[in-house]
Amino acid sequence: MKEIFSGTVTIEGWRKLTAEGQKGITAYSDEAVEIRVPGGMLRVYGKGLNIEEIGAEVLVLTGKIETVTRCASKRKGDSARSPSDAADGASRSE
Amino acid sequence: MKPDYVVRYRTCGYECFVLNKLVSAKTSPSRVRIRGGKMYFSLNSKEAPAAERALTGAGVAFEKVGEHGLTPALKKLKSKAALLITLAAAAAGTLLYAFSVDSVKVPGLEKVSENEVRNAVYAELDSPFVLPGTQFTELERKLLDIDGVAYASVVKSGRDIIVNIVEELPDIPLLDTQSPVPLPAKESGRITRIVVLNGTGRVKPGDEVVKGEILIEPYVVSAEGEYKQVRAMGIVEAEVRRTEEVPMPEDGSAAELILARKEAFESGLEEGAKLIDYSFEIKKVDKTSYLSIYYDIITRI
Repeated sequence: MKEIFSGTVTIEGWRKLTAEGQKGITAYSDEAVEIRVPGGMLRVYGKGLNIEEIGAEVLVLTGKIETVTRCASKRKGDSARSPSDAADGASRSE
Repeated sequence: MKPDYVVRYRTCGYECFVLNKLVSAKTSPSRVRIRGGKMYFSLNSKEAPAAERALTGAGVAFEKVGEHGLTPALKKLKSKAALLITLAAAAAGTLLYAFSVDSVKVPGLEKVSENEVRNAVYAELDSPFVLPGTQFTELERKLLDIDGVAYASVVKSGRDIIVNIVEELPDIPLLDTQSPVPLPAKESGRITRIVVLNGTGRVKPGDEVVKGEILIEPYVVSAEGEYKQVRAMGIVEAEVRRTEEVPMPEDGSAAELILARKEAFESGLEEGAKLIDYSFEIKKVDKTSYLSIYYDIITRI
């Protein structure tokens, strides 16, 4: 099932995330990925996260995506280690 | 863009920095994985030089861990072509050696000529190579045409062709051992030995017998006095005289002639016969002299 979460990020079935216009990644592990996107930061939390493709304009993440959080900007003290500080975001309902 | 082939790299640490650097170098890493503290990623082979320059320029240590696709496979195959050709040649050589014929063996012949059998085999083989499972039906049929061959079978065992021949049995005269027939004397003479195998003996050593006289009767008498007819069989030896008459030589030298005739006679005796004495007599009939040589022999009659 394809879901649209803002105009630049697409999540498909909570297994694949496509972020368009990405400006680079600031954190990357198999449980959390932080990406700079137009207007802020995108944080993705889950398990077994892998970057399938990363290019100048697009980033494709796969894995078990549990939470996607979009922040207006990277605030001081923010980290991509916890999904608790969300400005606006989506979580997969269990 | 469809890659020509894919190159796989490995780096240690600074994952985000490395990925951002690669993106800024206008490359698109894919299949990014973090395992054991190392990051693996793949790049299009056409992007690889630019990526390597960017990483080298940034002081990032990286390692190429593999190449995937048709071109790398073909490269590996090319580098192994010589090995493959050598292996193929060795396999072909081994097969040719296994299929070749080293020798033709013909065991157990007594009367049939071994060379004749071998020549027939070589004449029938089209080539020095015989495939496993080949049937030799036509060859076996031709071997039956050889005199003395009753049965032939041909098999290939290893590099040898084995020809098994069953020879024809020699003709054996049939011996009638059932009809009640007596044993008569074949010659006249004086009995020296008699061994009765079947029947009843009629003569004893020292008896003078004439040709045709019955030596062994064709019956036996049981302990109860019953007569039973049998075929008379036995060995009877006697001293017989055989005579040879030859014209006297004109020069009168009979001694050499007599000796020569005696030796010829002795060498022509039947099996079991033995010359015990000889004598001679010269007779004159009309104007011609004849030499009579008498040979006294012991033989079976």
